[in-house]
Amino acid sequence: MAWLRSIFSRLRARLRGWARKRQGPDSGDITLNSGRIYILPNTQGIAFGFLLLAMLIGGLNYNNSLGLALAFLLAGLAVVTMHHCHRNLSRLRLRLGATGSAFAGHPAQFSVTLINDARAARFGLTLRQQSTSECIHLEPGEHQALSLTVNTSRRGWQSIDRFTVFSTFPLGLFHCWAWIHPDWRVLVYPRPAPPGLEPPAVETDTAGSADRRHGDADFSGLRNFRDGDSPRHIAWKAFARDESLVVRQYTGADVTTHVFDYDSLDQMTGEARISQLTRWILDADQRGHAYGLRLPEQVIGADLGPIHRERCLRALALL
Amino acid sequence: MKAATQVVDTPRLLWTLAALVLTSLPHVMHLPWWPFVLMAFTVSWRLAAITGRYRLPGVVVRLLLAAAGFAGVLLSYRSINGLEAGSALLLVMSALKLTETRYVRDLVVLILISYFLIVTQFLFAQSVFTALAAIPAVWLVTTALMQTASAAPPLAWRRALSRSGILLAQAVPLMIIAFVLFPRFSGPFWAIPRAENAAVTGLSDSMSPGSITELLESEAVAFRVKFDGTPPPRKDRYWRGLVLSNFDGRTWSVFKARDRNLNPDTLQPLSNAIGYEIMLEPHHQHWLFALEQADPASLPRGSYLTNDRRLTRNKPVTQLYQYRVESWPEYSASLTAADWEMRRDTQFDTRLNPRTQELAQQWRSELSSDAEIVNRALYLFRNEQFFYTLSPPALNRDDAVDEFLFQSRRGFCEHYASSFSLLMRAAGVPARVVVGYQGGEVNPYTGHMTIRQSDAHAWSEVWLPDRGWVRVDPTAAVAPARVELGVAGSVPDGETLPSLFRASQLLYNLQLGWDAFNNGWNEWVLGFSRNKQIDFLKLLGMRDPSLRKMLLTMLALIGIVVGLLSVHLLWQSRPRRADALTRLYDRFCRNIAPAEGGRRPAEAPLHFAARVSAAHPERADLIHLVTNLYLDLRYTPNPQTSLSELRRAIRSA
Amino acid sequence: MTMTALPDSQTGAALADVLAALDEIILGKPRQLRLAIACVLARGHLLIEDIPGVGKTTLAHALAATLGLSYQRIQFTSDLLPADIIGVSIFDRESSSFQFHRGPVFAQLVLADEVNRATPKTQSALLEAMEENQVTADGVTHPLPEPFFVVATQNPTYQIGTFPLPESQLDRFLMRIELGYPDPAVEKTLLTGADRRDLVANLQPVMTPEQLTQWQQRVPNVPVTDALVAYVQEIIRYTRESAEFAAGLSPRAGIVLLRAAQAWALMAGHRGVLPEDVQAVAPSVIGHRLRPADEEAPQSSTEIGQYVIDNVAIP
Repeated sequence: MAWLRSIFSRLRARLRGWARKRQGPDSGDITLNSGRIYILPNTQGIAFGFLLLAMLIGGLNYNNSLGLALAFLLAGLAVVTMHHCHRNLSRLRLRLGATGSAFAGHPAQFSVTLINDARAARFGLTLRQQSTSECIHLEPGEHQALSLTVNTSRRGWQSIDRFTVFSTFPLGLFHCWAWIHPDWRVLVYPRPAPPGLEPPAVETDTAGSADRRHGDADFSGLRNFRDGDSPRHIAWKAFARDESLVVRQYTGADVTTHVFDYDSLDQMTGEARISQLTRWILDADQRGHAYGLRLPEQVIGADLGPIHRERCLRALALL
Repeated sequence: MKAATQVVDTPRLLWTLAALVLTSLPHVMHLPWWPFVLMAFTVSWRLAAITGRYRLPGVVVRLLLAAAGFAGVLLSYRSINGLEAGSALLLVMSALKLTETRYVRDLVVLILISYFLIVTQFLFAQSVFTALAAIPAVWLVTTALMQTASAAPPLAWRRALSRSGILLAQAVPLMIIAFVLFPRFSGPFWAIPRAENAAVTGLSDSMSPGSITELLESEAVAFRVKFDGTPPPRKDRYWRGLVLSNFDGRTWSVFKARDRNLNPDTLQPLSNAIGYEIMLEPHHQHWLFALEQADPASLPRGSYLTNDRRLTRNKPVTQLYQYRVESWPEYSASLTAADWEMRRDTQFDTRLNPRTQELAQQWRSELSSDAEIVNRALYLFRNEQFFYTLSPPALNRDDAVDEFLFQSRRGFCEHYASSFSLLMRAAGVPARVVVGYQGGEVNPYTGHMTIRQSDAHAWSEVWLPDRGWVRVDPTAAVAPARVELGVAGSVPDGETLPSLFRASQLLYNLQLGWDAFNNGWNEWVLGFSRNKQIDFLKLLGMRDPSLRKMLLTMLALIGIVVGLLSVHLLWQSRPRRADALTRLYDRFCRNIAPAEGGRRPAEAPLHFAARVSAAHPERADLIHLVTNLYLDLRYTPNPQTSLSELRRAIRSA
Repeated sequence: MTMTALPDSQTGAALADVLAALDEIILGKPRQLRLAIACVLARGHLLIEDIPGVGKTTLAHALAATLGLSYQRIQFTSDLLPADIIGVSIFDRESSSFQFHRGPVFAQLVLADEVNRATPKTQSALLEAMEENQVTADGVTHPLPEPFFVVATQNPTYQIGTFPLPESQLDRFLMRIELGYPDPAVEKTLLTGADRRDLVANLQPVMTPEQLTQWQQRVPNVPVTDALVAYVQEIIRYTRESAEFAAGLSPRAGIVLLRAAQAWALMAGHRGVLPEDVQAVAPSVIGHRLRPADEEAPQSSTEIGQYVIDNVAIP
């Protein structure tokens, strides 16, 4: 069986290559015309065919008219079904949607919207890449987004250059499908190292206080002086004005700034370093610390926020 | 493909069970009870397993159940071969398969078996009722397949039924085309043995008192006939079936020991032949019926005439069997009969019926020829106080003929034929009993003739030196009406008749209509054999319907129907229609300035108006007017204009 | 706009006066001016993103002057503290209690100049005030004046030590617009003519704040038909399904887009909101709420918004 399977898979690869060359790459809105919809009986369809054959031979042999009539009805049903199955995809509109990003080892998601412009419903639409998406029915005029998940293993760009949309409805006897060739690229971020190793000592750009509880970041108001308050927090202006001893009150954390250095992790291999840096970036981002990144040929200044995080992760992914 | 390995869920399972149960139940009519109990058991088990509290049986239990099922089939039928045993086995297997339905794939197998269970039903019976009952079954099974086989979430049941109904309805034209044009073979290549105990009403190969009474009460159709020309008169319609030459004093039976083919030279026609076609209901016996006397040269294939001129078929008639024969109403048979035949047909048990023997010997001594003895006997029946009745008194076991001839003198065909033949044998005249049917009724709706079991009749045949075998019907001597009017017309007033004969006019007409319908069904659906097919195609205008021609025509017609179907489906999938306002405006945009290429999908109406009026200043006013009307109609909740005003504005251009 | 459709006689004139007055001051930017007015009418806030010196401050000041609004300018710097915006509680010895001293945010039109120079904390103090139309200090809530309108400016070029408004905060602004360089003719007038700032100083109010509030109240009543809602839905759907964007528009974005379009329709004097109105405001309203999937494509937010509009068919 192994050799048979290898012949099949090679044949399929050839066929796909041919289809790709014929159809060209897809983007944006794709309307499936019949030239790119393929249909073949599936395993159940072949089983059904044998059933029909048995009925036909039996019916002919005994000249059993009702048996023959049923065999012919079921054969007709198969033919009708094939056309209904094809209709599920015919002139179906697909809109290639957003691609997410993912960390290596986690599935990346791709979104495809199926749009039914027709007056008749379409049934049993499913997408397949490595895995199979949900299977849906689309009423006339309806549209629905399906997501495809693709496993990622290595950091860097991962491209998805083919997926299948198919339906076996109504009777599951035929497999009707179309190949879509998107130019999807998903950036796979490095796999974060397990938490544990703390980043090196903090470099902070706010001068002075290392007082962790009363950071200097945000002035929130004034209150009466209590013993033990730092003299640096006394509001001298207010004191000068009305001779009351009040201190300035601050809330919030320090603006702590890390600069994560690739070279500081020289005891690790390259990939392990990248994983560790990824972990630190995620942790700092979660804690709201500003951070920068120093890579062999690139330096990213300290900053905060999703864009910055993405810029850093991208640099690591493509290192 | 993906659906196949999907785990069974409740709706899929319920649909499958419904299909299986509905297609199994009709088999109750001809199978023993226990496969159904087994199925009820596994169905309940499978249903209980849905809840998750019960588990499906393990390998050991399944093997035990399988062994028990096989043993059951073997015990019931002593074989796993044959139609009944095979069907029982199919049921047992599907019941067992239920206990290992884990994946959708397993359910699909069960659904395909359900289709097969429907076909099996047709091997037992092909009546209109079977066909009608199969329609909901096919519908349900197809719906179950639709709900189960694809990975799609099951539809609501109403929608599912309507969708599968549409599929089936669209398949019907294809079925009809294939049914009419798909080439048929002329005969079976192999046959399924059927259990011997299949009980069918009909003649049997022996006649003992009371065996015909049962038939006279049956309304079942024995066969239908279509004559080429006008049918012979009723009194001449003797449908010869069996010849009973053996008499043990009580029972007449077929003499099989030296059953050999008739020498055709012993048969001479004395009139022109009458051609007709018989549609024989399956009676699971080898004999066929034909008017006396069938032309040996006209027999259907696979059948022959025995030396006592029984028309016999090589295989039993297990399905509706259609054949064509020609018969000579006047004939002479066996002018010179073999000695052994003469000896056999004058044998009787001399210890029984002494008075009958005495009377016969008295005639032998008084009368000079066999023919006179025959006439004397008929004279006896005609002139003495003999009565034709369907409810005769019970007769003595041993000397039944004596008792009938000299005491009770009440009876019907079997009594008269039996006593007459014994009288002849006792007088030394070779005689035997012939059973078959007499009469038949022409259906005014179709012109065909229906012969029912109630037309069963027994008569005698005697051998006379100059004439060979001659038919003598002693019943006709007693009650001429029996052969001229049928049973109903021959019994005395006041006697209760079987239900068929009591029917009112309306019911009688209904019955005729139903019979006409059944005749059509038999002729055009069940009896649609190779010959019928070719005749029908010629009737439709196909000249010389060869295999090649039929196949090509079939494919061409299927191509046309499939083409129509795809056009229909394409028509259904056309984009949805925009509302009238949008259509009107879109058309305006397309036509106002073809050079500008119409409005782009994302172009707002005012921007389009500005673009086009810049290119065509002479049309600016119109464009602005139309655009403003359109915007008002479409984007204000209480438009100050109307669709017709917009239409007018556009038309004015 | 070269054309007006479905004129509504009541509305046109009053707002036309405002626009006419502003056009005198801000030369060659009629579109941005109208967007700014629409933003005020829709009770939104405006983010102007451009290099210094293109007239951001002048625009804000002129708006305040024409609409008769009280005006405060806050120059954001890295050492600006939240209290410098919202105000400070100072201990009052005479009453022995803290007295709240209102910050510059208590004005009808606040110009937050170069917001990206301040720290995120300070920025968020302003953003919270914008969001809630009130300021809370020491547990006491102080309502902001009515109407309240913030014009924030931001320098688009990335510099070390600045904190561009985080994306999650950008949608606090109804619109983000760019002013851009003036064209040569306008530039000449600017070079040779009077100083714009002097002109602003001499501007007379065309409208009272009460009148403006009335106008604002009329915005939600501009009729919207199902056909137009379908168009807005199409726009939202497109952004959610298209591969061009990392994330689509939020439901709130849809609501504010419709509100801005209503304001535009009111200014244009339309009797109902037209697709044109949506298209006019959409680039400024949705551009900064969308994040392109490919970060490296150099596109301004207005261009992104325009891209969407150009690709969504009007149903």
